[in-house]
Amino acid sequence: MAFDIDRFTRTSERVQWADLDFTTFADNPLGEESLRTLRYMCEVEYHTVCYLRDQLVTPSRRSADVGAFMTMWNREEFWHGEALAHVLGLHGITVDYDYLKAKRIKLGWWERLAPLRQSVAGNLLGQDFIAVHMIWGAVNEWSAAAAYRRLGAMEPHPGLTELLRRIAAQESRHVAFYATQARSRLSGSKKARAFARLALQRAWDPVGSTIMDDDEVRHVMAHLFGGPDGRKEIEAIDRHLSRLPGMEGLTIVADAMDERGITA
Amino acid sequence: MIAGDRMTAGTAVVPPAEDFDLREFLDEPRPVHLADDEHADLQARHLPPGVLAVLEHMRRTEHSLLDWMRDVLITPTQVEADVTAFLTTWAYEKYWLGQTLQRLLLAHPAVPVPPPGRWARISDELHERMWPVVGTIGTNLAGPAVTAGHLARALADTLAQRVTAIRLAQVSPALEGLSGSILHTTERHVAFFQSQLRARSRHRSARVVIGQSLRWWRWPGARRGDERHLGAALRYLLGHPRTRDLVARADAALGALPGAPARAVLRTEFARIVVHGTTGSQLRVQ
Repeated sequence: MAFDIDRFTRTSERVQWADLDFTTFADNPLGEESLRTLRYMCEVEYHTVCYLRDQLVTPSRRSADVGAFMTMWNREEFWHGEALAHVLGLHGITVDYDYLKAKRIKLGWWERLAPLRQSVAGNLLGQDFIAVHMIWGAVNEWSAAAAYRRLGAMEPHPGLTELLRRIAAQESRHVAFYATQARSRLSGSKKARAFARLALQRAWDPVGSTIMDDDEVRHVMAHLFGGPDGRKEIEAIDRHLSRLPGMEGLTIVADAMDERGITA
Repeated sequence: MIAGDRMTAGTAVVPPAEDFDLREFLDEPRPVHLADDEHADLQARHLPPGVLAVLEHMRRTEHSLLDWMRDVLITPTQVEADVTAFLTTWAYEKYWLGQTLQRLLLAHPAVPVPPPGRWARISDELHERMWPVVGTIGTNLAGPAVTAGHLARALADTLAQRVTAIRLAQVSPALEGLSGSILHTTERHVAFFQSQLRARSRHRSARVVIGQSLRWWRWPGARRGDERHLGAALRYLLGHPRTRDLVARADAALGALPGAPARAVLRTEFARIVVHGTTGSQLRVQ
C-alpha cells in the first residue's frame, strides 16, 4: 500500500506529555537500569539531526517525498528527545543543550567526517543510494519501536507506559514510510538490492552504537532484548527485513545481539 | 487569525529587538497556512504575472530548504545543540510556507522559469558533489566561528524575505494575509539570529567571519542558477522608490552587526542582480 506523504506531513506533531501523570515518580522512581536505558534513548533521539545531516549529503535530499519526510521525522524525533529528557529531569538527570553540545564535540573527527563518507557513497551509487538509506532507516525504526514497546512493557508506570506508546506509534509511522520506499526502490534495481544487502551485512549496528560507548550499547540491548521476550522482538525485526526484496535470510539484528553476548 | 491581525504582528522589516525565547519557539511553532476561503479568494482574484513570478521564486527558495540545512549541518554548527534545536522548528515552519506557496501557485497559470544556463548547471552539480567533501573538512578545520557566518547569512536572508513580504502586500493587497503570516513567522527567526550573533560576536574570529559572510552574501535563491528569473521578479517587486526605505532598514540592521562590512549588503546585492544583471524582464514595475 502506498504511503500518503501529504497525510503524514499534515498530521505530524510533537509528542505530547503534559496530560500524563508523572507525579508518582516522586514516591516510585524508575530503577537505575531503566534510567540508563532512557538516557541512551534520549541522547540517540536528540542526535537525529546529525543522522539527518548524513542523509542530506546524498541523493535522498532531492527526492520531494523523502525531503518532506525527513523534515517532519527530524522534528518528531527531536521531541522524543525532549519528552525523555523531561522524564530524566524528574529523576535529577539533566540532558540539556549544553550537555548535548559537549557530547557532540567529544565524538570527535570520525563523527564529524561522517557526511564526507556518506557523500562519497551517495556519489558512487547515485539514485540507488536512496534505497539503502530507506532500508537502513526501516531497520533502525523497527528497532526503535521495539525498544519503546519493550521498555513500556517492563516498566509498569502508567504515565511512562503511555508516553512510550505514543513515541512507538510515531516510530511505526516512520517504519511505514521507510519500508514502503525501500520495497519500491529495491524491487526496481538489482544494484540497489546488492548494495543494500552488503551494507546491512557489513556495516549495520544497533541504533546509537556510533555515538554511545560499547558498555552503554550492551547494557541497553541486554536490558531490552535479553531473554525470550526480547529475542522474539529481535527475530520479528529480522523477519520484517527479510521480506523486503533481496534481503531474504538476513538476520543482522539477531547477529548483532549474538556478537554482544545477548542471549534469549 | 484574520489578515489584519497578522499584519499588525510585524510590518517592520526589522522587528523590535527582543530576547529570544527558544522554549517558546519550540513549543509554539508558527507554520504558515492559509485557510481554504483565503485560498479561494486569492484564486478568484487572478494575481498578475509579476506577483506570480515573485511567489514562484519564493516557493523555489523555500523548497531549497534542505540544501541550506545540508550546507550548515556538515560544518561545526552541528554541535551547537541550541542552534540545531532551533533549526528543527525553523525547517518545519519553512516547509509549510513552501507548501502554502505551492498550493497558491497551483491555482494560477504556471509561471515560466527559464532553465539554468550550462555554467550554472555545472556549478550546481560541482557544489552538490564537492561541497560535502570540501566543506566538511574545510569548515571543521576553521572551527566554531563558522557558525556566526551561517547566522549572519541567515539573518540577511530573513530580512530579504521580510522586505519581499512587505512589498508583496503593497503591490497586491490581496496578499496581505500571506504577507502578514510570513512576517509573523519570521519575526522570531530574526530575533534568534540577532541574539545568537550578539553573543557570538564577542569573539574576534566570529566578527571576521560575519564580515566575510555578508560580503559574499547572495539574495536567497541567487546561487541556484536562476538569476534571470530572480532578476525579473526582484525588478518587478523592488524596483520602486518605496522599496529603498525597506532595504535601507534591513541594511542598517546588518550594518550594526559587529564585523559587518561598510557597504550596504542588500542594496549592493539588489544592484548586482537587477541593475547589472541580465534580467530579461518584461514585467511592469509597480
